[in-house]
Amino acid sequence: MTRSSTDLGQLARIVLLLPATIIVVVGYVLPSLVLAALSFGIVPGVWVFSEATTSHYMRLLGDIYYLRVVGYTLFLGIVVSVLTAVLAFPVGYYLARSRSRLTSLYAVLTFTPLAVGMNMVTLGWMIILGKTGFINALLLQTGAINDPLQLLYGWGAVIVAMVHVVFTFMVLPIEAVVRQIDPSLEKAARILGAGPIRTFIEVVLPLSLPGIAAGFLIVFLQVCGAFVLPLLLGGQGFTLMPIAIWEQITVSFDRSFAATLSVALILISIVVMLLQMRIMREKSLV
Amino acid sequence: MSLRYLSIYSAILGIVFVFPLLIVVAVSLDPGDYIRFPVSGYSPRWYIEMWSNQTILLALKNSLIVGVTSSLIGALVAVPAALVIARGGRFLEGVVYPFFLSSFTIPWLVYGLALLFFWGAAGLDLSLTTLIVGHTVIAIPYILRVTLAVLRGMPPNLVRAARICGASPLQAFFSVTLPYIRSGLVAGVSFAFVVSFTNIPVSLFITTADNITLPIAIFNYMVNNFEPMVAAISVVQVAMIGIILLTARKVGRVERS
Amino acid sequence: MSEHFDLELRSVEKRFGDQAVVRGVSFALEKGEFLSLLGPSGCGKTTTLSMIAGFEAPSGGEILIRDRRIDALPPEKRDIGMVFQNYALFPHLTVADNIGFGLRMRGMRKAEARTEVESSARLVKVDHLLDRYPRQLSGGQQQRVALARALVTKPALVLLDEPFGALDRLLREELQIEIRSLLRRLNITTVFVTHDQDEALSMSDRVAVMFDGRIEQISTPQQLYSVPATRNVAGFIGKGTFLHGTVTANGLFESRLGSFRLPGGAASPKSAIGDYFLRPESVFVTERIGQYPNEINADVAAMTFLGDRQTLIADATDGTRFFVQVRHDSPALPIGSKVHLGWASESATVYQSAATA
Repeated sequence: MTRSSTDLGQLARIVLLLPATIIVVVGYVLPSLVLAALSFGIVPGVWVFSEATTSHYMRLLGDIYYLRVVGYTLFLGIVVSVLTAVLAFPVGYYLARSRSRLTSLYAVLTFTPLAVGMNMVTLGWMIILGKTGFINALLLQTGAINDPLQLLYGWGAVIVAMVHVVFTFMVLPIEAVVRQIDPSLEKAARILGAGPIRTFIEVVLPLSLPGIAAGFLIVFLQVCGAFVLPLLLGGQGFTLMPIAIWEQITVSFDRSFAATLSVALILISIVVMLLQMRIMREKSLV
Repeated sequence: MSLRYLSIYSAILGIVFVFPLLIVVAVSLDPGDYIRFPVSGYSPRWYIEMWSNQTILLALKNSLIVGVTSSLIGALVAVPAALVIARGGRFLEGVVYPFFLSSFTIPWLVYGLALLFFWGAAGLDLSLTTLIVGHTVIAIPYILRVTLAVLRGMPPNLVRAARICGASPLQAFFSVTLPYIRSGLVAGVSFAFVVSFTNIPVSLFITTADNITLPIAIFNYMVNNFEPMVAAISVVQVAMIGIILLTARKVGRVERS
Repeated sequence: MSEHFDLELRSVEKRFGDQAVVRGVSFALEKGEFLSLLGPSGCGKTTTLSMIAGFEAPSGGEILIRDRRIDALPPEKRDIGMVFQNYALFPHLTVADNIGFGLRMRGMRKAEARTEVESSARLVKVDHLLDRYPRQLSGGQQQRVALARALVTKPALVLLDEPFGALDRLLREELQIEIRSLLRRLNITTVFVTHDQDEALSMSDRVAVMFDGRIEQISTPQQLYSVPATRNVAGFIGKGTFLHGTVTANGLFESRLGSFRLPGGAASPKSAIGDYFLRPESVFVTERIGQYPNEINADVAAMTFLGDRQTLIADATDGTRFFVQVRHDSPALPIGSKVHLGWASESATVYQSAATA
């Protein structure tokens, strides 16, 4: 690195980095440390520190209820990721290859769930899937059914709405990676005798894997942290990690165990990230 | 793959994606007392009644304050940091930059919980200020990333040219660098505002009756009563976001024809 | 009792870590002088320019503008105008605001600056483009605007950093002539960095050729070409043939191709290893053996037609490649045919590398 007199001096660098550093340390690092301490039963006060204990972690690992919550969270993450990847790939491919001007509008469209907020999306799906909602009204009026179906509350409703919300996180990396694939590669495969399906499986798909993998990671992490949508669309008894944490605070008033569940959720995120990095490296995708 | 089939498929999926949002607009106009489909009629009833709801008004005011303050403070601290990180170097790229982005990786709900415990341990009461700190932390990565991307594409000779023309480092920043990054910065700040304005997980545990935000107020409403007013408030919120994003686009557009 | 110089460098050094990029560069420019820093990439010419501008701090030595030490001053306090590679025009400002930037930084209001902006723009013939934005200009126009921006503050010194690199050949030559005559008319001291020897030779009062952080020769373009001071300079400027061999005490140069006479003054009391250098225009095709004091046989490898002249490329018996300039209307010699080449001893230049035992 070259230093020059128009470059920033050491002092200037520190001064410029300081405000952001203070905010991140005070607003993020310290709170995270307090959370981690609390998960071991340590209540950081100004003067008083209590004994450390691993009993909350023991409780988490020994209770089939919470292990099931962890399992549900991971399961939902995998299902939504796979489903989104399958649904989003053709769209990403289309956006990358099409010269239509409508494609930029499409990017805005897949982004809307994030811009309008989870309340709006959740409400929309509640109205569509509810007992007095859109689909039931349609089916009742056409005479296809006599009694309204129970569409809301449960896996189906949560998965459909989750796919909607995270769709943009999968489309964007796929679109980006397909853009990198030289279209003449596909033509070359066709000239060499591969049909459209073979071309897709042998050429396009392997070259798109880095994009799909990137989308997979973001989607998985988003699903693991989702709260409002699974809470309202999953209904009673549909418990994921974030919901379990919320219940500890609002129902059980057990702050320490809520902290333990939180740390467990962070650990899951980290493990997933490391796992993904490892797979990417082994397949030499990076 | 035939692009025509793909375009039809994409269009159908697109319609499915806007449908939940359109249906909320339809329901918001229902004068009835509960949400049903088909709607019982169309009237602006809930759009009028929401303005006499004190909680909603307070929450809207709070959300605007928190959103504007946190995104602006985010810009004030993230832009100087971006200027330094853009110079490159292993320590800045490998340690400092990931450090500022680290709040991206932890689930928001967990972060909100950490803030609740932290303010408790620090002996501070929950207030708009404590809320703004949290929202600023999550605003920084968005603003930093966009600003840095623009700065990295900026020819290094531009600042040198300004300096040799007689500009001090500060003058060079305001007369050359800031105009150059303006559109990216405006995009980052407006996005950070939207993130704050719609955020539920971070605010959930650190809002009280006094510093309640609009998304939290709507969320509480949805948990407790399922009436068309929720839809009306949501539509108003989305309209505000739309206006802000469009204004930002206009402000951010660079006038070089 | 120092003379008045517009720019003076005294033993300027630049090290990055333990790597020396500029080693002891010294020169002085009188008012109105045009100096080129020429050399291959990585020779330190750009770093030298950056130190004069103030973008890099020297690790040693002194830089003076009009007898005032400036090496500790920030760029904005040095009173220098500069045209950058790719011009570095401010994309958000109009041509007028780009040109007037330096005036505004000196506290002048836009309206006040207008007259000077206009006269500067007129100098470089862009006064009809004042309301345009840089992206609406052609490369040549951008280049002119960049020059107007550098000149508007009437600086003591103008620096040109490879300013013609992005232009096509015809436009480049036209602008070179125009800019040179403009700078001469305004009598502005200029330092010009380039890796293009034609540019350097055609525009400069003096050229400094740099290799590996050092100036190997600083002289007029004519001298540089006809009397290259070092082997590096001879090889870098123009074309030519090097013969490797030994300079003997009895006035001969002995190589694998035979013995040749040394030019007067190149004789050495002791024998030494060295290089014998010939320009294409010093070598001739001879009909008669014995016409020149130095002669060799060679095979024609190619003839290249360059419009105003031709170059004969012929390989000597040991494979050494000779370049011979011949008239544009000389008949083409078939490839592989034998030619006889000769030259006068005085047209050769000899570089001794080391004394032999």
